[in-house]
Amino acid sequence: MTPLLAQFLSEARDFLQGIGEKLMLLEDAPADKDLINELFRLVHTLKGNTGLFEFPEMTRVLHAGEDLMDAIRDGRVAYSRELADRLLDAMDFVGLLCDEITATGALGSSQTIDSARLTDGLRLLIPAPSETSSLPGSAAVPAALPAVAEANPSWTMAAIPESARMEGYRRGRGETVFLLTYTPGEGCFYQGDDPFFQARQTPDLLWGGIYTREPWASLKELDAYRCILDFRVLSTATRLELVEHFRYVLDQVKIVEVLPLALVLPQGDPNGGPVYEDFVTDALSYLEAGRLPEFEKATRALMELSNPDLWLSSALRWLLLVLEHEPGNLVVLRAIVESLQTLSPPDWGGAAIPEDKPAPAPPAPGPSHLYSRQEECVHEIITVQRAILSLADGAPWQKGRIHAAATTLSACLRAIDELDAPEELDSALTLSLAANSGAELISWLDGLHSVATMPSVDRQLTEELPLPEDAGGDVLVAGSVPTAEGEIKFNRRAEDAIGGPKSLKVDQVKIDRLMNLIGEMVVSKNALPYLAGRAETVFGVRELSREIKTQYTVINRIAEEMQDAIMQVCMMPVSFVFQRFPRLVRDTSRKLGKEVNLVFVGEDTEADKNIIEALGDPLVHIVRNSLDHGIETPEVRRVAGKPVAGNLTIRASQESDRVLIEIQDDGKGIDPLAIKRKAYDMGLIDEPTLDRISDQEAVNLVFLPGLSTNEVVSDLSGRGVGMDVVRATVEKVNGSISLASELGKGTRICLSLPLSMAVTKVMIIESDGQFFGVPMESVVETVRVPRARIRAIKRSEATVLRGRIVALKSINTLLGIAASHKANADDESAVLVVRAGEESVGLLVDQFHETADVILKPMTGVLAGLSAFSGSALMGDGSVLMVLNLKGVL
Amino acid sequence: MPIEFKKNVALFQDVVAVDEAEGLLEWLQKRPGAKIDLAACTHLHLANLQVLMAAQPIIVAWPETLDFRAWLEPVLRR
Amino acid sequence: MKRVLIIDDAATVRMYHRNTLEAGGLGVEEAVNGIEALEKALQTSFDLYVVDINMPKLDGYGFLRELRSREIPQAPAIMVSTEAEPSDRALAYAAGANMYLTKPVKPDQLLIYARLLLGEEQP
Repeated sequence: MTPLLAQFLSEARDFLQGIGEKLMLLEDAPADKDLINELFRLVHTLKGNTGLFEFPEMTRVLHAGEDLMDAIRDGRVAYSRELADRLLDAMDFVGLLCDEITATGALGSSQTIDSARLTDGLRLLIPAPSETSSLPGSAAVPAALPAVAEANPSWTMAAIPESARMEGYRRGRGETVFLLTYTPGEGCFYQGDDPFFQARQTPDLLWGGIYTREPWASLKELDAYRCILDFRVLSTATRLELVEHFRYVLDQVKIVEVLPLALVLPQGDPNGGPVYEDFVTDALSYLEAGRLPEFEKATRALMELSNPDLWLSSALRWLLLVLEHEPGNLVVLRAIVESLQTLSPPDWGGAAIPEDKPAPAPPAPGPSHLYSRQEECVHEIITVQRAILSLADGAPWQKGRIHAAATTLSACLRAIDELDAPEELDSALTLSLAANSGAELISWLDGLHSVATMPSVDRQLTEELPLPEDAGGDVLVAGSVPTAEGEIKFNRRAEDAIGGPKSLKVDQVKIDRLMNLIGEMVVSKNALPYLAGRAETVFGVRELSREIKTQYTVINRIAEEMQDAIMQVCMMPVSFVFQRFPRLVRDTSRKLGKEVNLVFVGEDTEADKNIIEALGDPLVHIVRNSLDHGIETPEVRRVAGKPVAGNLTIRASQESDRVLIEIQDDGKGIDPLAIKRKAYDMGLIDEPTLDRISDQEAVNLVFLPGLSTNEVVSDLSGRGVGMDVVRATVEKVNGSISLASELGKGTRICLSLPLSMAVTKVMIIESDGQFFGVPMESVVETVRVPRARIRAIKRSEATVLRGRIVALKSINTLLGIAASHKANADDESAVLVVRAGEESVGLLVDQFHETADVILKPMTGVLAGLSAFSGSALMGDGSVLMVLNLKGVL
Repeated sequence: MPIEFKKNVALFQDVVAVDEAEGLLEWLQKRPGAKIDLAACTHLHLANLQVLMAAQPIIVAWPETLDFRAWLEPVLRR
Repeated sequence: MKRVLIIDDAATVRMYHRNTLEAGGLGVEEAVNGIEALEKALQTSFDLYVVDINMPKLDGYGFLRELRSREIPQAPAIMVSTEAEPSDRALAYAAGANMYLTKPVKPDQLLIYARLLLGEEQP
């Protein structure tokens, strides 16, 4: 994995993301030209980038995608759902390939078939394929097999040993293979040439052969210094490299490109071999049915039975080679199989040989007596006027300039008898002058279908019309007259294509390191006030104490700002997680035959990257649930008097140090009775509970493991991924989840997550001289309850707070501390009311202390088994604070 | 290196230059059953090869350098 | 007959262009600098201007800008210059030229463009 490859992969993912998003947007606005152009650019740039590496499977698909986008852009194809599906599938495939490259560093050939399938799928949508596709039946048959060695017409490719030709075929997939013929002059030795040496040194040599030009004289008469030998060489060097190598004898050298197929020639003993008629029949039928694995198997099987020197074996080896490199090329495979019957070279001519590329579109038909020279001038004049008309520098002479351009156009078109409707020009001119803008005239000009364009002129002009130095600073736009060949150059970089704020890609590892260091800094700085205290009390140096305190305030401010800054770096908008939903909702709702409107609110809300990433899967599950079980089909909804399309709203907001995410649908809600029943049947709740619990509590039973609201677990929500797993995932990041539902109306799921994984706000409480931390997000209030107001109910204690009964639990009891808790001087007990699940509980403690931001470090090793604590934190005085896990404690 | 002519075997070593060709031709003319040892040969000037191709002597050892051998075998093996 | 105004401070160049255009059946008048050209243009209406850039008093750009600022029928202008830089072209077009040719101008080239800009068919 080179840095270049890593960079490419990272950018590729961004590209794919952007492409996916734009495709989704295009669904709602299929004619949006800007979107289409953006899409084209993205696909084009991505395709270009793949060209730096050897990923033919990827390039092929992207190329097809690009051509398809181009066709859409030109209006040759209309955007459709089918089209969108295929493009999305293709992009997903590319993403898959990127994953494979990330994992293994390269791309195996296992994806070739999928690549060909997707490519064909895309190309089929393009109305008039102008290039060779990999469609079965119109295979990439060479347009022309090379005219080989005129000097010796009986020489064929078969003279090249099979291994060399196979190597050539293999390399020919990515490089160009050349056949070079070197015919040294008779007297070359006298010039100091050694053609043999030259030939041996050919760059990227695959094979070389020596040939006599005439029969050998007898030894007696032989002139050793008259050269009568020719050389033939197969090489994958570039033409330039070959020309360079033979530069001193270039007139004696002929270089011809060889198409890989021309190398495909079985050779060997045509006699003997096992009976293979069956093979031919089977092979052909496998090919017809596209059953390539069976085809391969049959080929290998027969090969093992055959003597490798046979013509048959050679053909079989070729089949396997072509199958490996061009599995989609059924025409070639068929031809080789058929050649087994004829025992002669495969007949490539069976398939249609595409004609030479058509010449670029000829210029507009004009009066036949025009000289082409004049045509060029006309085009130039028109293009220039168009450019002049698009100038918008606000010059005082702009009107006159526009007028002159119009006059010029009028004259020019008249001269070639192409001005059919002069009144249209006049009205366009009037409008333009009135608006002091050439736009009207440009529209009129573009509307003239007889005005074709000539690429060379355009290119010349676009190169020659840069910013004029003193003309008001506006760029002279050379019009966007399309070229006949439709090739637009994009030298824009990835960042330009995607747009957006300037950003830096940073390794997560570096961020984590920074975060840890700052975390440690935050904790360490807290030691200073403590030290200041010691300086005063223990060492009696009050001035020093004061100075330390002063310096501490400075360091404190900086450290807190640093912490804030690093948290900001790790902050990501929740839209990162949300962005996969439009696609998910679209695909899923279609699969289920439902209509769903997806709305995001507050997608700019930011939270820590790790939290955001942890959110992904739970949210997906919740959304899937909603689509699967919540929102009804259009018919059901209509009957229920609801709008046919269901509404799914995902809302994100920030509240102090929490991020709140709410997913709300207007579906059929959760039936409390059904849930209660189910839970009871499964033995998850007992009968008294079944009777007792409220609807709200019933609905929350979905969080119990094993419960699902449908008889058949749909494959969408997945087997075994119940809401219990979702809750566990959420709680693992110190989040909480709750659910509310109304039968027939809808369901709302709320997630509360910490803003940052790093720092937790805790309230420090004291009991029996020990200090503990309680996460602030669970703390409802602190209250001092007079002893008198504490009631004993059965075996527990409770009190009434604002009309509500709150159970009281002593922290000492919960933590197994032997002491009983102390009341204060007024005989009041300190009660910390905390939220545990749905209820509130009052914790009896000895004393409240301040709140603090701590870096919560999870328990490790043996201590990790203690459910009472969620972690420990290092305090400023060096002591360790145990932070309670309320769920585990209560 | 110059060709080493031993009794009936001509020993080709390293690079055999253009000026060896005449001598080789004469030697082969006089010895119809001559043998050639190319084992240690890394290159021979084309003039020498022409002589060998015309004479088609017995090659008792092919060059150790495989790509070199690949060039020579098709034209020198009887 | 169509009337062309040739604006160049060099007499030989003016003669050169005159010969070409007159041979093509066009009427020709001359001006030696931008000021003179402007006076003539405001007095009579021309069908085409052939204007050099480097001239005293008022150069080709200045002439064109002035011309295009006036509320008069605007005839096409071919700017002729020794300069071949793209920026010069851009400046010329921005100033109000409709075509730009570099010196030396081949007679047949000038004639083709002149005819086209005058709306005349080639013979």
